[in-house]
Amino acid sequence: MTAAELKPDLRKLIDARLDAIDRILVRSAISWTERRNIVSEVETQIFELLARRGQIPTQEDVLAVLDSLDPPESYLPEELRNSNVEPKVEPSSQNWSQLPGRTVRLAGKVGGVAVCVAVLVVANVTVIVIMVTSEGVIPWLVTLAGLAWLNYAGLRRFKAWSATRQGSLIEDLRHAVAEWLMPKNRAPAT
Amino acid sequence: MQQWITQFRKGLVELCIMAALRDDEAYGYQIVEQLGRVAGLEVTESTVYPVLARLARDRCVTVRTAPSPAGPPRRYYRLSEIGRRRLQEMIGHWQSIQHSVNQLTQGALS
Repeated sequence: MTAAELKPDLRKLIDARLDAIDRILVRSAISWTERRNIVSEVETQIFELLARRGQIPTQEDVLAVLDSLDPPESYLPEELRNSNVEPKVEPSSQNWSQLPGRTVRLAGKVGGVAVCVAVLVVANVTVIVIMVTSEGVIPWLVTLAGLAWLNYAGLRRFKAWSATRQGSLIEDLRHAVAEWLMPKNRAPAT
Repeated sequence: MQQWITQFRKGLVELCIMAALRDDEAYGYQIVEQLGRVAGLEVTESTVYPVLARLARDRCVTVRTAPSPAGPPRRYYRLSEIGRRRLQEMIGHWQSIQHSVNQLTQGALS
């Protein structure tokens, strides 16, 4: 019998026990490598015991084998067993990095462009309204030329500024807020 | 089981596991069965596997995996050079303590 030959519902019973042991080991602050080794050993033992009971294990076999094992709590070190100490959760800057980077980058780009376009439209509309309300061709032409120059110069400056930046607007903002909230960690929020 | 017995055995488990691996390699459950049969020791998997994982971390044992007819691969443990040195130290320490404790307890008995 191999692990792959076991019925899925029986496999779930075994996995539930292995998960329970892993959770207990997490509480005792054992490293991931050691946890994996311990849980692998328990899994191997379960299959050794099942194989001794016959070729095709039934639910009764699995339950009996699981029953013969030490309870998951017994993997907890003695000093933690009688206390209600919960695992210490370190404040982590990783929360910031859990945001999907691709989404943030896309939102940053779209947001940045949208803000620029909005500023440009508002400025142009304002100038055009002033032009329409004024009289005479010369002031029109002067204002129009000024507006064209402002747009050209503004776009050039924006292009130059964009080239010097490392990330998107939102990413920069995220870095700034993360550093402000968690100055000690200084972890890059990627 | 009384607390003092648990504590008493706890310190001996590492020594016993290493002693069990002194002559030949063995896989996890094999060690559990072997030590489970030792009168007075009666350790179970929840004691043995964490110690094996710790010994592997400390490089006192080397680990190799091999297919098992029963299912997932077995992990075979073998005492390394570091492990042999530590076992010798532990045995020396154990004999010294045993001698001292024997003297004390014999004095108490007489």
